[in-house]
Amino acid sequence: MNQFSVTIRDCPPAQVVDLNGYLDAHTAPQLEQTFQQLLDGHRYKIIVNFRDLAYISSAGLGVFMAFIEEARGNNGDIKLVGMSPKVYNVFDLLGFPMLYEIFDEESEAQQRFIETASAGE
Amino acid sequence: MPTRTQRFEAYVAELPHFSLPTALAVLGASWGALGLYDLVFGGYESATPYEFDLLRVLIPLVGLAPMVIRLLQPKDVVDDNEAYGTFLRMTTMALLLAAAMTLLRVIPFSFTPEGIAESVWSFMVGRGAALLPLLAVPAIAEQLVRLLRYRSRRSVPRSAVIFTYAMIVGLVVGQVVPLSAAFDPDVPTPALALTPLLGMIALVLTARARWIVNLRKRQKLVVLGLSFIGMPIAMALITLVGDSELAKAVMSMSVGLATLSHGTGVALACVQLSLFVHALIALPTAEAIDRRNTEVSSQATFGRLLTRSFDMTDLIETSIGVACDVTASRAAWVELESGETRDLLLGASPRLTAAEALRLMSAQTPEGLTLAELVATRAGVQVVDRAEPLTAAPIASRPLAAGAAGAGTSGESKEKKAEKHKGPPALSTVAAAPLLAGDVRLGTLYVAKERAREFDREDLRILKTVADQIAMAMQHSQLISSSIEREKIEQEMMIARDLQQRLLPRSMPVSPWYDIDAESRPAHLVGGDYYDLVSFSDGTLGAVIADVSGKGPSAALYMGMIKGVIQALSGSTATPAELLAKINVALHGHIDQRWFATMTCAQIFEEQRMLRIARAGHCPTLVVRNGVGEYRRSRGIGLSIARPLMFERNLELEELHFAPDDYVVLLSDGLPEARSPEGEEYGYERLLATVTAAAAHQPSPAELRNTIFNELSAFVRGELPADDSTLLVLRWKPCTEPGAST
Repeated sequence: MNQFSVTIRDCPPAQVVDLNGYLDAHTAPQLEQTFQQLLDGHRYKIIVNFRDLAYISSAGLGVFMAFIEEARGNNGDIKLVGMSPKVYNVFDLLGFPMLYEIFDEESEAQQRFIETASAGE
Repeated sequence: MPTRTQRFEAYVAELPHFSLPTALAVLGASWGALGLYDLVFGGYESATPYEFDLLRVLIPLVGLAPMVIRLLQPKDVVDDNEAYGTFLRMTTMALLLAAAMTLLRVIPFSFTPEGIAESVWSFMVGRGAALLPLLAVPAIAEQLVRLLRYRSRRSVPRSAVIFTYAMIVGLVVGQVVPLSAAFDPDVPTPALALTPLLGMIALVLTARARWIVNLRKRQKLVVLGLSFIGMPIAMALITLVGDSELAKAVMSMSVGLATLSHGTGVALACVQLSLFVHALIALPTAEAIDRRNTEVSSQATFGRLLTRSFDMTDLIETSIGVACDVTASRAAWVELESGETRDLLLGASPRLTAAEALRLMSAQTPEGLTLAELVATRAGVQVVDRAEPLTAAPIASRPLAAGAAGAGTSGESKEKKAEKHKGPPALSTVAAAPLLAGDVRLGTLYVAKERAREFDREDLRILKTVADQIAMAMQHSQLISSSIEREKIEQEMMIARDLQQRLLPRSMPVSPWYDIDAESRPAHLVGGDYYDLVSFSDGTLGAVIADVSGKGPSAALYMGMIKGVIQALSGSTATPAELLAKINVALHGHIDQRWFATMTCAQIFEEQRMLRIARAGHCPTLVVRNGVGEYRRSRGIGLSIARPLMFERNLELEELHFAPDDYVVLLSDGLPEARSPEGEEYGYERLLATVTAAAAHQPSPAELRNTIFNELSAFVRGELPADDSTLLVLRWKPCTEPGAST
C-alpha cells in the first residue's frame, strides 16, 4: 500500500499543506478532507507544497479542482509550490499552469499572497 | 414371502379411510337406527341384549365398522411431542366423558339387569345418555392405540398390533357371543376375559415410554398430574359395564361397545399408572434434559443458520433467543463492535429495555471495572452477581446506538412492551461472553437472570459454546456476504466492460491515403481510455483519443457520456478545437467538480496529407515524419477543468503536414507511465525510440501497434498495469497507391 500523509502548517497569511508520498484515488479523500477543513475554518489562502510528493494520479489532480473556486470566491487561492519536474509535467500536460499559480519556492507563493492582500486594501 | 400379518395389514391399508367425524357420524347414525328399531319393532320392553335379533347385532357392528377400520389403520406416533399431544387428547377426552357420565347420574332412569328399560322415559333418556360413551369410547380407544404404538423408530412393535386386534376382537365378540342363550347373564360377556390381557399388554407397551424422557419439564409435570387423575377416570370407564343405569342402557344397546369401554378402561388405567410412574422418575432429571435438548436444538439452529442465513441481524436475533433458552436466562442481548460504533441488539427478550441492558453492562466487577470493560479485555466468560452499576457509568458516554440496525424495531417494540408490564422484576445477575472469531472481537453476548447465583458452571460453559457458535456464524455470514458482494461487483465489471467495448468503433475507415488501427488495453476490467472516429461538418474524418479520470464502472459511464457528446456535436462542428470547446461547455459545471477528461482530436485531410490537431490536456501526440520521431504538444487544458472562456483562450489548433510513410501515434498516458517490476517508468523517451525504430521498417499500423505493445510487455515483465494503455496508429500510405487508384 502506498503511503500518503498531509500536514498543515502556518505561513502567514497563508496555510501550507505539505503533501508526502503517493496521491492517488485511495489517498485523495485524505487531502480532500484537509482542504474542506481549511475552507470550513475560513482559511482560504492555501499553499500546497509538493516537495515530498512522489506521485500524483488523475484522482489526486481532481482534488485541487474541487476547492479552487471556493477559495478564490473568498479572496483566497490555492497556490502550488515545490513540484518535481515529473509532477510539474503532469500538471502542465493538463493545462494547470494556466489555471493555478505554480512557484518553485514556498516563499514566492507567500510573497504573492502578501502582495495581493496589500493590493486589495 | 409376506407373512399373514403383513398381508392382512396390506389388505387393511386398502380399505377406505374414514375421517374421525365421518366415523363418528356413522356411529351416531347406527345409534339412531337402533333406537328407532327398538322403539318401533322390538318394543323397548323387549330390547335386551340376550335375545336373538340379527338386526340388533348387525346395526351396531355396521355403525362401528369405520371406527374399527380406523383402529386397524393407525397413524404411528414417531415424535415425542406427538406422543405427548396424543396423551393429552386421550386423557382430556376420558376426563370429559367421566365428567359427563357423573352428571348423567342426576337424571333418573332405570333398566333391569337384563337391559330392559322400565319405561319409555327410561328407554329414551338411557339411550340418549348412551350416545355419549358410544361416541367417546372408540375415539379414546383410538388415541390409546396410537399412544401404545409409539416408538421413536418407525417399526411398530408386535405387541401393539396384538393389542389393537385384541381390542377389536373384544368389540366384535362382545357384540356377537351373547346371542348364545346359554350364556350366564351375570357375566355379561366372555370378551371381558380379554381385558386383563389388554391391561397387561398396555403395561408392557408403556414400560419404556421414552417420549416422556424427552419432554420439557413443564410437559412432564402435566403428564404427572393428568395421569394421576387419569387413573380414576379410567375406572369410571370400566364401570360402563358395571351395574349403573347408564351401563345398563349402554349394554342394552350394544354389548360390544360395553366390552370396548371395559377394555379401554382397563388399558387406560394401566397406561396412566405406568405414565405416572415414568413422569415421576423423569422429573428430577427434567431440567438437565431440557437443557441438553435445547443445546442440541441450538446446534441444529446454528447449523441451519450457517447454511442459509446471510443476514446478520437475523442471525443475531436467533442467536439471542438460543442463548436465552440454553442458559435458562430471563434476558439476552448482544453488543456489536464495529470500529468506533457499538450497537445494542436486544433481540426478543420481552423484559429487557436498553436502559436495563446498559445498567447491567455497567455492573461493577471485583476488578473495579464495569462488566463491559472487563469482558472487552478477557477471552473468558464473566459473571456479576447482584449487579450494582458503577456510579459514573462510563458505558453511557460511549457512542452506542441502542437497538440499532434491524433489531432496532423489535428492540423498541419490546421496550414498549416491557413498559406495559408493570415493574418487571429487576435482573440482578448478568453473565457476559465475548464473541471471538479467532483474534477478532465481534462483540459481546450477555445473558441475565433475576436471582443471584443462578448461573452454574454448566450455564457458563454453554454460554461460552453458544458465544463461539454465534461468532462463527457471524464470521461465516460476513464472508458469504462479502463474496456475494465481490461476485456482484465482478458481474457489474463484466457488464461495464462489455458496454465499454461496444463504445469503441467496430471497424476502421478504409482510405486510399492512409490506414488506421487502434487498440485499448484496460488495466482493470474497465478503464477510462477511449478512442473513436468522428465526422466533422465538412465530411472530413477525425480520430479521437480520450482518457477520463477514474477507473471501473464509473469511468465507463463517463466514457459513454463523452461518446454521446462527441457524436452529437461533431456533425455540426468544423474543427477539432471547436469540438473540444463544445465538449468542455457541455461538461464543465455539469458533473462532479473533481472529475475531468483529457482528449486529443485529429481531423484528417487525406488528400493534403494534413492533420489538424487539438489537445485538451491529453498526453502529447507522437509523430514520425521522414523517419524522425517527435512529440507534438499544442496548448490546451483538460476537459471540464476550466470555464469555457478560459478553455477556449488556451486551446491551440495545430496543423501538421505529412509525407507518405509518415506515422501518427495517438496514445494514452498508461503507456509511458507503465512500470517495470523495479518501479522504473517506461517513459516518453523510450516510447519515442521504440516507435521511431519500428517505423523505419514501414510497418502497417497494426504491426506498429503490436510492436509497441510487445516492447511494453517485455519492459513491464508481467507487472500489472496501473492504468489503461491505448494506441491509435495512423500511417500515410506510400504515394504510388493513391495515384494508382485514382
